[in-house]
Amino acid sequence: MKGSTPTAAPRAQEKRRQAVSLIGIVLLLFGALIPSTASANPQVEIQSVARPDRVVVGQRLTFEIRVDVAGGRIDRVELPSLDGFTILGHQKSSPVRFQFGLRGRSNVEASEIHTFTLRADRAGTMRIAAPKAVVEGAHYEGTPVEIEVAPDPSRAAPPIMPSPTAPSDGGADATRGPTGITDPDALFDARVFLRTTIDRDEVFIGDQLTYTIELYTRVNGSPRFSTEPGLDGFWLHELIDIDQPTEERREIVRGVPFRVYTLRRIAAFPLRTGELSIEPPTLQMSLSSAFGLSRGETLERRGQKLSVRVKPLPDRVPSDALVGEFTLRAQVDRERIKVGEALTYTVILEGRGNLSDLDLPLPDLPGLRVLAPERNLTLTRRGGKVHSRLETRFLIIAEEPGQPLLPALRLPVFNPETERFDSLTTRTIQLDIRDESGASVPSAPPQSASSPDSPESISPEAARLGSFRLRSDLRMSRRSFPEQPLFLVALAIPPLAFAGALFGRWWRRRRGEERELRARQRRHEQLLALARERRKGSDAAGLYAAIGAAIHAALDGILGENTRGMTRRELDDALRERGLPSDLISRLIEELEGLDFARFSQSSTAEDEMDRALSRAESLLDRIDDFKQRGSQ
Amino acid sequence: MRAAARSFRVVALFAVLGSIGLGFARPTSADAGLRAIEQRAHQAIRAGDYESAIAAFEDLERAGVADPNIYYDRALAHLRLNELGKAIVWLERARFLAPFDAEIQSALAQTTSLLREERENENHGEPLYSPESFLTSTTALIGKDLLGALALFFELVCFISVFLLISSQNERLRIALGLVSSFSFILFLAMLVGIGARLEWFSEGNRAVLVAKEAVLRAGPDEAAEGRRIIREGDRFLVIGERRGFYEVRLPDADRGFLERDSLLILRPKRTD
Repeated sequence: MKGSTPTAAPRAQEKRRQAVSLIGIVLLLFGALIPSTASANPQVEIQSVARPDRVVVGQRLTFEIRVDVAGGRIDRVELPSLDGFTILGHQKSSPVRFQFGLRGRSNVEASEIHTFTLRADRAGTMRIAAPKAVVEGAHYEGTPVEIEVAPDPSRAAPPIMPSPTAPSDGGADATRGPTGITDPDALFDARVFLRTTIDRDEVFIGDQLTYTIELYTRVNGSPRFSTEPGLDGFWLHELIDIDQPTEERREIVRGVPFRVYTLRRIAAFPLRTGELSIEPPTLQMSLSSAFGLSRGETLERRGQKLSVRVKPLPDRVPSDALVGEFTLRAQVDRERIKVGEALTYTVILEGRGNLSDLDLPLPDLPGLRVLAPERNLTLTRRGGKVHSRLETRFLIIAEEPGQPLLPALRLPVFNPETERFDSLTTRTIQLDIRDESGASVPSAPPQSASSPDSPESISPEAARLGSFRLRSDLRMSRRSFPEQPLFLVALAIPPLAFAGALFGRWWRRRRGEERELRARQRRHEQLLALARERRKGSDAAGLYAAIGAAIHAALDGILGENTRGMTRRELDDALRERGLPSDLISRLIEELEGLDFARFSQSSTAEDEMDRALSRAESLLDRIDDFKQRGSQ
Repeated sequence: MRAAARSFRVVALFAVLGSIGLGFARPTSADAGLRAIEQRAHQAIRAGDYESAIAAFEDLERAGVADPNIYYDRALAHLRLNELGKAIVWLERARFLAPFDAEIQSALAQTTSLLREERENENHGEPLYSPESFLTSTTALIGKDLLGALALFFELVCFISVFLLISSQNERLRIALGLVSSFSFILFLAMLVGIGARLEWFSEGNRAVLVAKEAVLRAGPDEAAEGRRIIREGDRFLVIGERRGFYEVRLPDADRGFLERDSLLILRPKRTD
């Protein structure tokens, strides 16, 4: 045991040191986690800047008020009067940032930025009062701003003659195809090259054109634009976040594989018509080795110059029409207010297209005071297209009791894809402004014939999404005509009538045929009776002629045609075709031949011969009648 | 005989026209009792008491009133109470009765837009919507009575022209009659198909709208059945059956299930038009 004593002391010291260190760390952490009770005063900074601060009358300028607060929240910002200027636009943004530090101390950084687009109305030194801010209940004040507004020189000076147009520098790049797509083959460089493209050669003014810069490279390096593309005459919006790494794809040009990066994709909205050229960008690329080490060599590449034909809007479209596809709606936060109170009238316009320069006007409204609108524009990218959302808030103060109407806003819109022109309209909103006693004086003259049921007596709240009708015919539920059995009956009548008419036609034809048959039958019976009379009168020639006529009449009835003109052979064929028995046909033909002979023979005048001829004819005609009856059955 | 055939045709024509006339005859009875209920509804609207107004409208509905103006006012009353699903149902019913009424169409479009906006604000995505068939949408602006009358008219023209075609010997007239009969037959068929589309003859079920704020689509007709998904107010689907107090429904994305009866309204219930 003793032998172990010399080593025990350093080990105990070591353990003590470890324990002290552990306690120290725990205390430190504990201390860090204890919430701070001390509250520091917020740091407030108020800035107001006019850019430019020297303008001429009628010129636009931007006036910005910025309130930055660290360690507190902004209760409100009191904006100064902007007399001497017309407010063309107002944007407000309020970013807030939270930071969590040690000792549970959270640091709040809040800002409120008001950006006014102003137009100078009169000359002189304009002093804009200091903006004020209330932060955590305490008042802070910025500094005033002075703006020098000079008279408009164009009113005094003679008009400036337009300078002659500069000659063209050769137009678009020769490597460009007919649709603005540059062929990479034509730009080929074995190491690196730039390709600039536009999605169309021809656009309407205000319509989106997409301009793309692509880098084709086989070497490693850091690209940097030494010259930005010249897009004068366009309003631009980046479609790719340039701070984010670009996607890489592979493409083979002239059999050589390249890595392709889309460096820029820009939505460009032409602001004027005519031929607009896009100057090429220049890119410098510092080459590096595979391990990221610099090789000291810098390559410079230039893109292609492009040109676009910007068409004016069609004749029927107003020049101030929005270009794109938008929806418009308007709403108020309340419709019933008292005199002196304010309401917010919000107009939201959104859709595909550019709304950066749009300021929605609101006309003077009697009994209402409309303050400068607050304009909030948000741009997003959807499917390679710029979508804008412009929210304009008008603060309206009621000054007189009544029921004024907020008129419908109407905006012309031209859709370049369909080339259709349309108008967007908001709904009309009726307000109900009452005085302190609660009375509302209608602004429109009262209708003398108005009944108590008339919609005019309904509160303005009912005007939201239409007004109640409060009238009806009290029409009762019923089956519609096609659902009634009568419809099916009516539907059946035409085909039944049609079928009936067809049946009638067939019946009439059949009856006619029967009548004709009977007439023919009567005819040969008459002729046979005539033959009998001739026999009684011993008129042999008349007898044989009548017998022949009776047989022919009977055959006519069977065949439906005159048989007198037929040869014996034709008659034989026709009767066989009709289906008469062969023996009957033979006997008929023999009889007809015998009758022809008998008329000129002396022997045929004998009494018994005439009786036999009559008897044979009667027998033949009976058989023909039998055949007819069987056929008709 | 010719005179008899002519008189037969005239009788047939009058029979068809008479039946059309009978079909168009509208019973418009408005007795004092119904007027009193209507007045009650209007007074409630003026007073801003939309629940009472809807109760009065329900009384009118039970009494068999099917008037587009009443339906429209009822839809607006539901709108005031933020019952968008019911408002859509009553606007659709009003539109069915008065397809040319621009105000009803506008209110329906705005209500649908409001519903989408509300959905968007609540991050619930687009409402389910089963689009109308091509036939339904093309015949939506034509009343069923008119469709029926047109069907009969074209049928009559078709058969008369075919009959004359058979009877006539004049070649030019026969060509003209052949064209007339062909076109009138096509139009007759189109009207019939249009009527079928309007009356949902070809539909698998009845179109319906969810009127509850939300409902659970269940696997079976039982409250204890497994819930498949949430259906929200304003969603549209087809009711294809009914079992034990539940409607069997088919959603536009082909999902099927059961919903409680009270949670939905069928757009065009029988005998309400």
